[in-house]
Amino acid sequence: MAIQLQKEDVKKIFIKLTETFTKEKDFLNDLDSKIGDGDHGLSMSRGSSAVMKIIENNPDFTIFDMLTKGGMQFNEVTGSTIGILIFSAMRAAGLTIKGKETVNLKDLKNMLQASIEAIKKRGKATKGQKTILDSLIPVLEYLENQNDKLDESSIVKGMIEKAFESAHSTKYLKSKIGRAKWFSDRSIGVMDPGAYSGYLALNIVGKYIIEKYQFE
Amino acid sequence: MKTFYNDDENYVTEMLEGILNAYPNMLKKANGEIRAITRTDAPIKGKVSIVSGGGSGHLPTFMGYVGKGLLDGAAIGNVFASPSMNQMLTLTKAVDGGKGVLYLYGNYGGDIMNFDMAAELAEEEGIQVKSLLVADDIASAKKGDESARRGVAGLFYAYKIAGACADEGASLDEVYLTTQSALEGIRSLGVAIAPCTVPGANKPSFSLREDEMEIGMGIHGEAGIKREKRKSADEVTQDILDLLLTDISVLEGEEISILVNSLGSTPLEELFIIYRKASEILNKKGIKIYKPYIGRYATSMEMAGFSITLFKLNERFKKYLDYPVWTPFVREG
Repeated sequence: MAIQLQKEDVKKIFIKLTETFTKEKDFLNDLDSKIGDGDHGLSMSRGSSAVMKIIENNPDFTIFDMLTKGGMQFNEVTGSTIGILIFSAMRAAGLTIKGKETVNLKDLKNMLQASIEAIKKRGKATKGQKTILDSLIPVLEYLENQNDKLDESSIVKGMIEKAFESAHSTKYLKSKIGRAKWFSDRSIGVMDPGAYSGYLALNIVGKYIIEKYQFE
Repeated sequence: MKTFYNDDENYVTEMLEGILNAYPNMLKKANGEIRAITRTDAPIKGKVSIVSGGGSGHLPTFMGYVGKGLLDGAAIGNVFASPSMNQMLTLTKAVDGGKGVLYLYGNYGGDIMNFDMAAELAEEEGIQVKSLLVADDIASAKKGDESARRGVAGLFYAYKIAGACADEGASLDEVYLTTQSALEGIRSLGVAIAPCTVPGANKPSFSLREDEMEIGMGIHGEAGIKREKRKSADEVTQDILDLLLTDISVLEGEEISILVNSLGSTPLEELFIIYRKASEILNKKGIKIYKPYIGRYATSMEMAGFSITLFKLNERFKKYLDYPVWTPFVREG
């Protein structure tokens, strides 16, 4: 059965995201304190809780609303670099599916692509600078290289693996942008917390799909 | 770390409520938004508005400088995190008196992205906005790469110049250019000996051994230029002034203002011990000190350490430094 996410699914994904970022708060803070100011976990848990709350309080939200209004809410409670980047990314992703009631795998790829473009533009960042882009871009490249013959189950599993591997590979990169840049050499050996959050988010989406469609 | 706050989730809100309770005749919320604070008489018709903002944790930066002669408003984020785009936009609309708004803030990625997006949306609504970044911390990038530097205590001088210039009736372009030329002569450098802990985080944002200090540590704990064995107050002051005066040339007979700023828990007593040495060194070089500021101006919560800022003066900047200000944390003239 082909992947078709409804708004109820997207809502459940946001609930799982909030649970995950709350659980991983201290781990993300620890990573960030080595190469930044130690609040990344706090921002992600606060931000995702705020998105969940506005979605729960507005049962009439479409998927587009969840992303655009949810993103605005994320920025509202966290501010910061991550807040505006996630708002920009969610807004851009939302615009690609405006008016749609369901989201398929191709839509997901387009949403990821739009998010990456928005983060690049707002953050003036590129690949290889030790940011969230370093877990997202390899996943997009991976998705773009899948031929249509591969079944969706394998593609989603591969996506999770790719995200995991790319997030962990940021250990070997040197921070070149943002506050972490000031830690430059000291940043080598530490995984980028933003890239790890990117993996966590993609992992939740992937796992949710696997569970829903009971891919073996 | 022993602290006095109720709950890290409410840290910023309760701090802002306290400030509003303390200064009801000076500060108010912009359109009901507690993270966008304006002076009570905003918007002021026919005056360029000066807006700043950034993360909490730096008092008296930013709210302490909202008032006559300095800022028209400030957007306040979580501790060490930029305010949101929407808070900035709300503030901009609340302070615009029809003559445009100058965003004047420290050179940090999150603040830039949020202020830039707010500026784009404000302009769509017909408000003229110009942005000027303060990048005075010489530890954060080499000479020649000044635009990559972080903004620290030099913000205070930038507010003084922009605030006075705007009060005199200058246009947005004039306020921008005047403040920009003042910034060319403003340089800071700090040293830290103990860290601070962001509320909600379970440990300090960096660690320093008892016998270590870090020259150039940023006000959010960003890495500095060098970590070394602690030295006496006189020796550190000498090192810092040497580095500052290598970065900016101040000739014999020229006038400067100097700001000796506590990063948080370093007491006034120690600041004066530092100022004693700094003034001695400057006097010996024949550099005249026009107006020293000594105290807490841009802090990093309970971080221990200090920074020194030098501001090269001309007659116009001297006049602007003397311009009266009336704000919660600074009252002059």
